[in-house]
Amino acid sequence: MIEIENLSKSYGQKQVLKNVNLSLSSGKVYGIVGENGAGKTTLFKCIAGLETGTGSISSGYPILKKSAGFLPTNPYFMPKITGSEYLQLLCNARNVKMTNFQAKNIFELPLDQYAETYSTGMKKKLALTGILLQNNDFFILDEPFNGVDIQSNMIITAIIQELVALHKTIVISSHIFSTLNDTCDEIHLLRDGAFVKRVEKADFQELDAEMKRFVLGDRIERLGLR
Amino acid sequence: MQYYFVLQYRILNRRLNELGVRPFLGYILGLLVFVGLSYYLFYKTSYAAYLYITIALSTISKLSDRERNEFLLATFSSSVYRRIRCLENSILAWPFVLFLLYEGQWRLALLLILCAVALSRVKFDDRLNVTLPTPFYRFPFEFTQGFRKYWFLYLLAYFVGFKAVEVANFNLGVGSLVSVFLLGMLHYSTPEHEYFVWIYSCSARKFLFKKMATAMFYSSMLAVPLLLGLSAYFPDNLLILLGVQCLGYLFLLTMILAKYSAFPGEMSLPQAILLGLGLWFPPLLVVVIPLFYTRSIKRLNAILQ
Repeated sequence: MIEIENLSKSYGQKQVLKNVNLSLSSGKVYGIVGENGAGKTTLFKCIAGLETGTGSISSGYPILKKSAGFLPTNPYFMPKITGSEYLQLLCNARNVKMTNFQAKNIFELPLDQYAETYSTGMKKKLALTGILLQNNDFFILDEPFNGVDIQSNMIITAIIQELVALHKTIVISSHIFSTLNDTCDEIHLLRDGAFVKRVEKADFQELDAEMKRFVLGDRIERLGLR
Repeated sequence: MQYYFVLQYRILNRRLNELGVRPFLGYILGLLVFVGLSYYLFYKTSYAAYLYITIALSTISKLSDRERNEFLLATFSSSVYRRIRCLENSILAWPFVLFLLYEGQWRLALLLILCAVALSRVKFDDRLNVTLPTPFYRFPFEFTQGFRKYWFLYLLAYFVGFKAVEVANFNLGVGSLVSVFLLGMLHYSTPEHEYFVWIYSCSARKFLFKKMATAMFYSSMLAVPLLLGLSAYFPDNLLILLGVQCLGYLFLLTMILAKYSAFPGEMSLPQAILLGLGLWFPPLLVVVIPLFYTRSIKRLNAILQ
């Protein structure tokens, strides 16, 4: 169980997160949706411990980050490091003894090539493979489906379902509502740094329709396309 | 086009500010260092002019990076792009050209400016698709990355070591050994992304010791063959060689601590001066190492805990 209580974060005068509260249980998938700039990435970074905010994040783990795998929206890669060396680095960091990555290479990535030469989708798949090999208990996936081909999207969905079966905790953000529909147990709507709605699986379609109404409004008419 | 150069000027000023140097002071310091090093080069060797041209052209060629040029070409019209590239290459070439003229090398100065203009029409892809194998794959990333970047300099260091034996010049041999450690230090000169520290599930102290152990192990793989070769040909100077090797390790460890003492930022000017003082006068390391260590622990704790 991970408890986030009254989490706030400001950059200078701008408050990005406003008293965010969230309870995360094992074996469940939590979707976070919101417009660009709503505060999703900041929230994820705060949970991961890459940013510090006010409020508290408590869990059953002595140090949460040691059991957490974080997939950033745009994964970071160093120049002149191959895919397998990247995976080796991530495994070494968590004391996971592994040297043969080919058997675990389910996305069939060219692991002997420099990771910086990979396409956007390949980079995401490599970074995801890395955090999966670390044997984490808690996963923060920021846009895991973004830029990834449809076949790999299916694999990622299946991976998430397998992680749930293994009682792992997963937090996901995605701009593709159908992917959240397939994977999440509940979805939280983040607007201007605060959670404004919590929706359970039975009401996902209603949330989708509401978001469309809110987001679209009369914007298309205002554009006056001819 | 004018705004592009204004932006470059702002970027340079921001970088100087990040280093803790006021831009105006940075330009003066940069000029003094450039003139000082140029004088030193021309004072030291008769091949200085040719070395100078090589250094100038390799600096200018960095602007020919394919990705960078494709961005410029996509942003500006073809004619503006060509003018920008020609102008920025010329701006970078001028300090070298002026010094060559001062040294009376007007032919080489002319050649340099022509080459700089010609280079503005070229796009290089410095992202080599061929993976260079290294023996450092078990503990990435510093030596893995650094070796791939500077393999030719390691080759040069070994060549110098070979020459030292051939011409029986011990000092040259020491120079080759020192340069292997200097290259190792270079691999730790820039901070990695915060994420690559965050992923570790250990204390700051353990993290630092892991980094230092890897650095010592891999630098030994590169330096020990050279040390053994030199020891075999200069057995009377074995103690000096061992002393250089130990000092090399100490410098490498100091560099790692200096890097993490400023992490996730880059080393500030005062920190760089402190590091420089420690390397220039090693007894100062007794103070410098504990200082960097304490600061590193503090900085890393913020990310690892």
